[in-house]
Amino acid sequence: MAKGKILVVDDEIYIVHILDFSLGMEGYEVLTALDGEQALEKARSEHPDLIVLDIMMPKLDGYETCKMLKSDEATRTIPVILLSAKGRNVDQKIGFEVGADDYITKPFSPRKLVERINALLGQSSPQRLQA
Amino acid sequence: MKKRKAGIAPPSDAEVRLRSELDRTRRDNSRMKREAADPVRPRRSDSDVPGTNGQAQAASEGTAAAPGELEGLRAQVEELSTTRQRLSKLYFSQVEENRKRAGKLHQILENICQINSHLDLDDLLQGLCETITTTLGFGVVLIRLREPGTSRLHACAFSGITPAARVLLQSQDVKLEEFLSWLREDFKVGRSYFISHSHSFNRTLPTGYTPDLGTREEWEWHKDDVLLVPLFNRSGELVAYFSVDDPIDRLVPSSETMELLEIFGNHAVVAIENARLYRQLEQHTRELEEAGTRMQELHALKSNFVSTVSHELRTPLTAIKACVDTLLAAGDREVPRDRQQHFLTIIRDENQRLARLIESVLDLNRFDSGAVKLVRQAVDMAELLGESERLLAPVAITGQVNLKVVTELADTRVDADRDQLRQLVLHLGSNAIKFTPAGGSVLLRLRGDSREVTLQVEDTGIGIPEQALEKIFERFYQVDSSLVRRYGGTGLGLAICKSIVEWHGGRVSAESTPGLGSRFTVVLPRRNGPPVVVRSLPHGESATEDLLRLAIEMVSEVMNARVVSLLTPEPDGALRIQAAVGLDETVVRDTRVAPGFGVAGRVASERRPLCVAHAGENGDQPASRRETYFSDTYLSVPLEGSQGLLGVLNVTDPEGGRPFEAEDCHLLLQVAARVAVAWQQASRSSDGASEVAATLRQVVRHLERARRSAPDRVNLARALAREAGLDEAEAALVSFAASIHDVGMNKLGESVIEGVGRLSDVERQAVLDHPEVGADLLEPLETLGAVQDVILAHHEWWDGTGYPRQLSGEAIPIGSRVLALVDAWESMVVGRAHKPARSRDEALGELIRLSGRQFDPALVQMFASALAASERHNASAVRGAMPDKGAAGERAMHDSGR
Repeated sequence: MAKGKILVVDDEIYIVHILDFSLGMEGYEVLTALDGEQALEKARSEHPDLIVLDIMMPKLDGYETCKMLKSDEATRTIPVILLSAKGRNVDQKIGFEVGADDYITKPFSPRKLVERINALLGQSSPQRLQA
Repeated sequence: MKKRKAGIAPPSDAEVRLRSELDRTRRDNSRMKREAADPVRPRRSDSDVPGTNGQAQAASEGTAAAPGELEGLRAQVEELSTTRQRLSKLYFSQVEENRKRAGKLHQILENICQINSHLDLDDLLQGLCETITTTLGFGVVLIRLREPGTSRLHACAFSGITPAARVLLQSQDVKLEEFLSWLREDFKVGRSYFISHSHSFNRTLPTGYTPDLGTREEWEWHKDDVLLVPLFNRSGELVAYFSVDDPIDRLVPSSETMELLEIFGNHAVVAIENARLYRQLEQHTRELEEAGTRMQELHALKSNFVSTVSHELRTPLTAIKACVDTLLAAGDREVPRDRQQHFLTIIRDENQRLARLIESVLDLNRFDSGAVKLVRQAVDMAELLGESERLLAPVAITGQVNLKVVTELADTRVDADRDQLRQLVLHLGSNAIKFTPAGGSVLLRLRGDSREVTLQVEDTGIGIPEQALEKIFERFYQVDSSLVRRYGGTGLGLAICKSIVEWHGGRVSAESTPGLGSRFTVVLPRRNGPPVVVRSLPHGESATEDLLRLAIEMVSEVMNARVVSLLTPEPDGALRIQAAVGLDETVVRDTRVAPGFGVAGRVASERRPLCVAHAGENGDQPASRRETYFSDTYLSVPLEGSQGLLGVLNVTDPEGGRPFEAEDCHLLLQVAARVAVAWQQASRSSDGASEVAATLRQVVRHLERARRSAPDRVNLARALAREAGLDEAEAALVSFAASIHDVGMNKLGESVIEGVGRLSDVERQAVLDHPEVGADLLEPLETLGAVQDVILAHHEWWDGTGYPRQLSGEAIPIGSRVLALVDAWESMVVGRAHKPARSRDEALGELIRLSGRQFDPALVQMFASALAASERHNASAVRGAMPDKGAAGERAMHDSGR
């Protein structure tokens, strides 16, 4: 039984491959999307436990995607970790304003991402959400 | 002689009145005092005076006052009191007048303050004029201002002058020198100059300007009187002057008024200089502000660029780091082999991407900082496209894209940096292939005209959305970054392309229909040097125009001449320039030579060549010619077609300045014969024209490439041919063949021609084929094939072991035998990249060693004396280049004058 379902969204196919593998190694089930629109679709249809979302993407960028996820009743409770090469404070601020739950800057260590995911999933357990 | 000097004004009416009143009062007072002190005596002593004496007597004598005396006293008292009243009235009117004057002074002070606060020069001077009119009472005031550094005084502010007169005054500046001549010592009053009408002094007044100020009486202002106030600054330079006229009181101004004018003047100088400083300051401020804005824009661009670059750098780094971390973190757990492989591939790819990106950023930075140095040379775009096609073919095959090159013009050369154009073509080509799905096609097409060469890269790919078209040449603009990444782009390629094109003075654009394909168009200017100017042909035969351009270039190269022109006869027999190099476009357009006139006209009518070593000796060259051409030596030969005269070919301004000689004329005749054949071929059909143009292009390319060594080779071939007993025409033919003998090698790369490295089998075959290739290529230029024969056999050996036909002995044309020796000598003495040059003795020894095997023994024997002859010739060429011939010196002047 998988620890949880994680949706990885990045237009960089290599990053998606690596995260698919390293999160898989940690026992997560990994879903992937290459842009924001795909991500919204999969979030609605698959209802993942957590979304790892890149910011700089074509069509719909990570901020917009996050805003839409958080404003949709069906997806607003899913924790979102933003992932971007931008590391300036103003970006982080925007990240939290659009409702992201955490933020990791590139280049990052997959291990660190796994730690954050574990932490977020531990906190946002179903009981707590119901409470 | 004038009775009164200007500046000492006549007493005013008020003054006169006042003075007479005072006199009277003083008289009355003293009399009354006298009477009071000794009332009887005056009466007595003044008895001879009746009237008053009688009255006074009555008053003093009668102790009981006589009524008559009393009356008299009363009358006196009354008189006294009226006098006092008059006096006090006078006094108060004087006070009033002083108060008015003080008010006026105050007003003037106010105005002066105002003057100093004006920062706009025009406003300031206009205000000043009006102030002078209102406070000092001059109906007409004119200020002329001198722009710093000039010697003209321009009318720039007026008061009391009609608009028409203003225009007149403004249209006629006063020269500084003239103005200063008016400032004569005898006109000087204070610091002003009063020039009375009675001075026999002639001022130049603008014509039509005659102020009419009415009739004059003594002391009155005359309409021809002038009062000038020159304004000097602290360093003694004239800044401006006032000229005033038409005083309201109609009198010559008092010295007081003049002083006031001068005070105005002093302040005006300060104010003018302030205003000018302010203007400068304003301009500097504006410039600084603009520079600041530009800096800000640049800074924004730069910081934007930096943040994008850092993002682009971090992305591959992220992938690499993530791969490495994942592999390390796996620890004991088994990572599947295919996964390992995949991660390593990612690391390698991303590493390459990083390297590419860094290279691109550095490339762009070089363009931006202006550190790019274009190594310009004649680049044959058709050849470059051929090379690119070979390099792109594997990519196209992998992507199952059909790659094609189409050349739609004959002359495809541009003056450009070959490496950069190569980068450009490869980028646009590979881009097109990348974005074209399997089964599609990519077309590289060359078009152009006499000034530009156009490269179009067309694909049947996914296309570019319209709103993105303008932005694709921007840095890091990606229509769809995932696509770009998938195809391994950096987002900088098109920006680099744009920079390359712009550095070449060209332009690049893109058009596209999404889903159907895109087309990139690059337009490059042909050359930087003097272009060949071709007058358009009546039927828009562009291939023929191309051909003429190439023909002119060929003549210029073979003859080593900077100026070449081809004149053709009009229906009326007059000659006009059809194509030329080294002449202005206007000269080409406007020159008409009447039949029989001038050198070309004579050549055309007599159908005989003309060689002029020094025009000065014949004295028949008009001076105007010498301005157009840089030298006084020229050749002119008829261009004979099968059905009569085609035109006249003129050559002048030889490189090095050596005067043309008869042998040059023979060489030109050989070249002219080829030009004539080419032209006639071309006029038959447009296909013929492009075939001929293609040949000429190869010839010119070969000539350009071998420019350095050609003159020696040509001279040596001519000398040896003459030693062998050939006549001048034949010797000229051999020397022409010598100038283009390796034209068949053009298809080979530089490295083969330079002899670098080992030859591949294909290259070896190409070398063996080059005499035949060359001879075939020259076909469209030949009627009798004489040059072809010489070139075809120039690698045959005397003993029959050469190529391509293994001819031997005298079966080898004499011209070829000559050329074989010359070619061998050149390659030994000049040296090749892989072989250092040999000494002349060594080289001669080698020729002798191969005499009878490779070379005609008889020719080898003559070689030494031919060499000596050709070197004497070269030496004379150097002497000929000395400036005493005029050409070189004149040329240098022309060059520096440009």
